[in-house]
Amino acid sequence: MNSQLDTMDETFYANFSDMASYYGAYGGCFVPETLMPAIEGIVNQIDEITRDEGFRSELRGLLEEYVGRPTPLTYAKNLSQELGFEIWLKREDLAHTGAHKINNALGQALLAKRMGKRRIIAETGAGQHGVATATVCALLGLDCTIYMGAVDVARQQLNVFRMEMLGATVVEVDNGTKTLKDAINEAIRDWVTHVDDTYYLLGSALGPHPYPVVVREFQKVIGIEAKQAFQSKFPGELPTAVVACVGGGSNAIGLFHTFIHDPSVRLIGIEAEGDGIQSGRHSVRLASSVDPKAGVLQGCYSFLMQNSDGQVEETHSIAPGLDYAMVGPEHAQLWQQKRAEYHSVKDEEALEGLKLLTRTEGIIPALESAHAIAGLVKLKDTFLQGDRVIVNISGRGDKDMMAIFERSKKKDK
Amino acid sequence: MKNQFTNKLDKKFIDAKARNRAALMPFLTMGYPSQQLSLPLLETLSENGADIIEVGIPYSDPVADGPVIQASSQISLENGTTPEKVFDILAAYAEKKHSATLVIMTYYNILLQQGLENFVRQCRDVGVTGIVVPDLPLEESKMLKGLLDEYQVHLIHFVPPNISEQRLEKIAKQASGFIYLISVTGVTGKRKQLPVNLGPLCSKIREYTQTPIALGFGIGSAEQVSQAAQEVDGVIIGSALIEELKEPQSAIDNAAIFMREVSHYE
Ligand SMILES: Cc1ncc(COP(=O)(O)O)c(C=O)c1O
Repeated sequence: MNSQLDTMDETFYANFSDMASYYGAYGGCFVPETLMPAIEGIVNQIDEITRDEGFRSELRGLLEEYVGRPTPLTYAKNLSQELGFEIWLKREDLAHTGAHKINNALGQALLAKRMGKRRIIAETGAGQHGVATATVCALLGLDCTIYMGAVDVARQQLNVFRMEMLGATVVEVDNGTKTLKDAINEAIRDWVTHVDDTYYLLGSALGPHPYPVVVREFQKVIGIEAKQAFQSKFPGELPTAVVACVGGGSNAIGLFHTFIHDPSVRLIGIEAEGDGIQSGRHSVRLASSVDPKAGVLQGCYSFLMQNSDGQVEETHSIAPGLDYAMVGPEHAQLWQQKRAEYHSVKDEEALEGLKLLTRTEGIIPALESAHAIAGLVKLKDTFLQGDRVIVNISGRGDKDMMAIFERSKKKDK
Repeated sequence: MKNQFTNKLDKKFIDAKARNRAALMPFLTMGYPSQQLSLPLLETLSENGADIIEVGIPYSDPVADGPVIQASSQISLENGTTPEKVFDILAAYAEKKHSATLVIMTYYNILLQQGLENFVRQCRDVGVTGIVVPDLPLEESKMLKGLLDEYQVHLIHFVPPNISEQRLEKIAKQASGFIYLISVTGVTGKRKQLPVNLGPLCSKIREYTQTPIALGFGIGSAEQVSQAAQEVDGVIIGSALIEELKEPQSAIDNAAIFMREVSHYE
C-alpha cells in the first residue's frame, strides 16, 4: 500500500499537545458548571488518546478504507476556461456520506469510545453532520441521538430518513428559530442532563473550548491533502488562493489551516447572504459592510448576529449548513488579523453557482459548497490568468435536490 | 484573599437562620406574563414570604433552562422586554423599600453587550445584591468578579452534583453571597424527587466554605422545600412558580397563593 496517506508525516495527525482556549480575543468556554467535568474530561484525555499509536492507525485506516481518503483534487477545465483562471476542486463531496463532516465525526467518535462513552449526541443543520455521526455510530456500535430544527427537518427530509435508517434517533426541535442554533441549544440541554455517559459530538469549528480546536484538527486533513496533491503536480508551488464556504467554519478552517503560514496564499471564506444584507434575511457575520460585533453564544465568544441588547438574531440561508448566527473563533481571529478575507453571496447567486458547476463539470455541489463557487464568480476579477485557485467542494448536492425542485416549481407558477 | 464585603443578601440568610427557616427564593422572568405585571408580581412575592427574589432578564438562547423558563423568556422577549426596561422595573421596586432583596439571573452575552461595568453599576444603583450567570464557569468569571467586588455585588457560583473535589475547592474559595447548589444534572424544571445524596453533598461543601448554600433546579412543592430546608440555607423555586403565572388576570393571586403555600412548609 503506497497510498498518499502512508507518506504523510507527523503533521497529518491531530495534535492537541498545546491547546489554548482562546484564539486571540476569541473562543473561551462559556458553559454551565455542570458541563465543566465533561469538558475537563476531554481536555485532560485528548492528547494522550489521540497520540496513541492504536488510535492513530485506527483513524487513519478508517479514513482510507471507509471514508475513501484522500479525496481527489480535480482540475475543473471547463469552469477554468469560463472564469479565466485555473480552478482546482477539493472533492469532499466524494467522501463517504457525501461531505467533509465525516472526517470530524469519525475522529470524535473514536475519541468518545476511548473515553468510555456509549451515547453520542449531535446537532445538525443540513443533516450532513447528523448523517455522518449516525454513520460512524452505526459502524462503531454507539447509541446516537441527533437534534435538528423543525425548519431543517422540513427542507432536508431525505437526510432525516437516512439518519433513522442508520439507527439514530432524530429529535425535531420546535423552539426558537427552529434551525441549527436551536438544535445546538437542545443538544447542550441533553448533554447537561446526561453528562455522565454522553459525549457531545459537535459538528463545526465552534462552541466551547476545546471543540473549535478538536474539529479543526480532525478537518485539517482537507488542506494537507490538497496541498500535497497540488504540489505533486506543481512541485514547490502554492495555490494563489484557497476558497471555502463558511457556516460555523469547519470545512473552511480544515482547508485553510495548513496554508495559514504561507502568506502568499489568499484565504477566502464565503458566507451566506440569503436575500441580501439589506433584507435582514442573511447569515453574514464577517463579510458585512457594517461593523461585526462579537458576543457569546453556545459556549463561544466570537462574531455574532445580534441586536444591541445581545439577543441573537434570526438568520437565513438557502443552505441550511450556513444558516447560523456565529462564526467559529479561529475565523474571527483570522479576520481580525486580516490574514483571511470573507465575502458573501446571495441565495440566487449560490443557485447559479450550483448550476454553473453542474453544467460545466458534471458535479452537483451541496448548496453550501455552491456558495464557494458563487464566491469565485463574484471575485473573478481579482484573479489573473494563470492563477491557480483551490475550491473546497465540501459536499455533494443530492440532499438539496428536493428543495431546489420545489423552488423551481414555485418559480414556474 | 477575596474582597470581603457584606450586603443585604448576606443579611437575608442570617435573618432566615435566626428564625430557623431556609431563605425562600422564588425566580421570576421579568416581562412575563407581561411587563406591567412584573413590578406588582415582585411586590406580591416579597409580601408573601420571599426573602430573596431571583429576577431573570430574558435571553434568546437560554441553554441552562428547561421548557417552562424557556417559554417564559421567549414570551417576555416577544413582549419587548429589554435589559433597560428590566432595570426600570427594578428601580421602581427599589424605591418602595420592600423586604425581599433582588438577585439577577441572566446569560453572559446580555452583560457583555451592556458593557460589564455599566451592567454592574446599574445593578448596584437599583439595589441588586447578587448576579447569577449560568453560562459563566469559574475560568471565565475573573473580569466580572473583579468588577462585582468593587461594586459590592455578589457573584453567585454554581455547584453541580457531579463536581470534582478540586473544582469544589476552587469555587468555594471564591464563593460569596450563596452557593447555588444544583440538585441534579440538567436544566431548570420541576422534578418529582430531591436527590438522595443532598446531605453528604452539603457536608462536603461546608468542609470548604461557610457561605450559605441554596438549592435550586427542580423544587416545586412545600413538601420538597421542607425536605431541602433540613440540609440547605435557601431554596430556589423557579419553574413551578412560573407555571402559575400563565394567565395575566390570575397571575398576582396565583403568585400570592403559591408563595404563602411554600412559605408555610412544615
Ligand atoms: C456540505 C456542507 N458544507 C458546509 C457546511 C457548513 O459547515 P462548516 O462551515 O462547519 O463547514 C455544511 C454544514 O452542514 C455542509 O453540510
